[in-house]
Amino acid sequence: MASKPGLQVAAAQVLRDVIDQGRSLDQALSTAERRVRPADLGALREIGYGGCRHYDFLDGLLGALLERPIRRKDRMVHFILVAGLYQVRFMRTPDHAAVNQAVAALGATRQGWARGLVNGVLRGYLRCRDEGDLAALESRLDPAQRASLPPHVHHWIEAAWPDHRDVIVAALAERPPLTLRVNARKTTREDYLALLAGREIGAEPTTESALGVVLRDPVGVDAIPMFAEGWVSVQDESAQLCTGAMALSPGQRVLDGCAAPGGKTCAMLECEPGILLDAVDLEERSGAIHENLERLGLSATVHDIGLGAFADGMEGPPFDRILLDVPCSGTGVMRRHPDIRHRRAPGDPARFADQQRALLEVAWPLLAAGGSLLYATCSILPDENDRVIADFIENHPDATAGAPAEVSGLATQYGRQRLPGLHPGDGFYYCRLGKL
Amino acid sequence: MAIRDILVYPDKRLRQQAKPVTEFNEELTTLVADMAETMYAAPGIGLAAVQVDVPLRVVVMDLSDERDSLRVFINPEIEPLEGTQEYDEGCLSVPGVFATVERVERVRIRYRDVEGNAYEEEADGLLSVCIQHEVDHLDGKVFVDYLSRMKQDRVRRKLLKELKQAQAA
Repeated sequence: MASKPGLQVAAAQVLRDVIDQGRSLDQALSTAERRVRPADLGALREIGYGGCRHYDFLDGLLGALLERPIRRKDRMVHFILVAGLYQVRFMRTPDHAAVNQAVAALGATRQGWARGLVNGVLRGYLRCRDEGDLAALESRLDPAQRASLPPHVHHWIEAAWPDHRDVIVAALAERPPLTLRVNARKTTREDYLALLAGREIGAEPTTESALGVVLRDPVGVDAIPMFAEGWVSVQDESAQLCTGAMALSPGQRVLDGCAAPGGKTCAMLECEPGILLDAVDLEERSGAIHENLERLGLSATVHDIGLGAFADGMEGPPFDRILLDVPCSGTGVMRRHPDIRHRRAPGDPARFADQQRALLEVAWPLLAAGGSLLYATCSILPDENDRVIADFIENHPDATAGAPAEVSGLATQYGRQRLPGLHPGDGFYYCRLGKL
Repeated sequence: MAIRDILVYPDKRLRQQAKPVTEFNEELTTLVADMAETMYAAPGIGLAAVQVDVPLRVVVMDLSDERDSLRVFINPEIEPLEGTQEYDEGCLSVPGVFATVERVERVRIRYRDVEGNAYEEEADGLLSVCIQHEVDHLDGKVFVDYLSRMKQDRVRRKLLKELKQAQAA
């Protein structure tokens, strides 16, 4: 007989893998999904995503509920408690079920000694809640825990946006909407909205992107009508604004310098079929570009190499347009990828900024005089945005920097910053560099 | 000691009727040791000899959290006593499938150890579920047999598909 791998065990393993071992949530979930019953898959994903999103808050609650911290070697007990607290706080799991399952999970992981502890902590939380004392309990959390962010990530946001901090933090704790980009070569937004309405799928047009559709209830791509046929792609509204900011016209030579997974690549081709597009990214990432092009019936020259190698071997005339959607801290998309906050070290913004400066240096010689390069990040940290641009134009007299008029957002010194909570969509930064 | 291959449902050999052990010899000791190693490696909480393609009435089991309390049942016999209970069962021969099965709550177990000494005890809870599950194996039964025809078909298709994929790989 095989013992039943409880949902709590699998969920606790997912959280441990992400928080303690730095694995991505997708990787951790794909391992754990093989261990639970199909009926528990939805709940496993919910605890995985939600547990990562609210981890620092739950960890703070746990600290307030425990008389002394759980020993470092008993991390599974810690994560079983975090999963249990998530269930009683954020899910509709009946109280007794959450407590019983957590206690049973201890047995399955050979941590039977902790039954009293887990039972006591979860029941202590429920008592607190039933007696109306949660506010007092939560008042013992520090600001970063209340924001459910690791202290250094919370500090980055506080230092960058003192006036907008609370709005941003609140937005990052939300579940993101599922936003689609309609493929203008296959259908129109009006027709696609009508198709969704006909199938009783609630949806609304996006307010800033002319091609965006927001689904009221997020679903898997398999359940999105005409997805396989290439009528729509999943793309955040802020990311959709990239295409307009490229100011494309037929016949232009266009380079997408950090193209994977190819969302913006395909958006450009859908919008302006007359461009000649080269998409560049490392082989370990470029598979998704090929897949997206194929599904959407688009063609581009894909180079499965890094931008540096591409630049070294480039032949032919320079590009009229370059998109440089650089690797970044991802602080603007933390609501969409709730594991990002746990995978960032204090030195990461500086480390990413170095990489971003290097990529700009590599891309700049590939741009024709009179052409423009759109610098984009999904970061909300000035270290990776305006400061990178400031350094760049100081060292490049042939460069001008300005905000693309096609993108709305906060005007920064050189570009446009979109902030979660203040603007629809994820946090994004765009700056257009013109070459004299 | 060696880890043996576990038969996977719907393998026909899971249907063989196991015969009582008559010789309590070194061969039996080796079989029990191999079965224990196979069960711990799987990991599982119980294993019947039929599952490793040996048609003898031998069961190994360890229900402890610490995985240090191996139990061996030779020629186990079950007498139902009272009540019913439901448990989400899984089986090392039906990987990845868990389903609720109703069984007798309280049973009496008569069995022998590897040396042939006879014992008798009453069991309830997980021990009762597990010994019923394992003795079923000795009688050529799998817990899937208790599910609806539709669920049985689904399990069969899923495992045959996985088998095909494994062979292709």
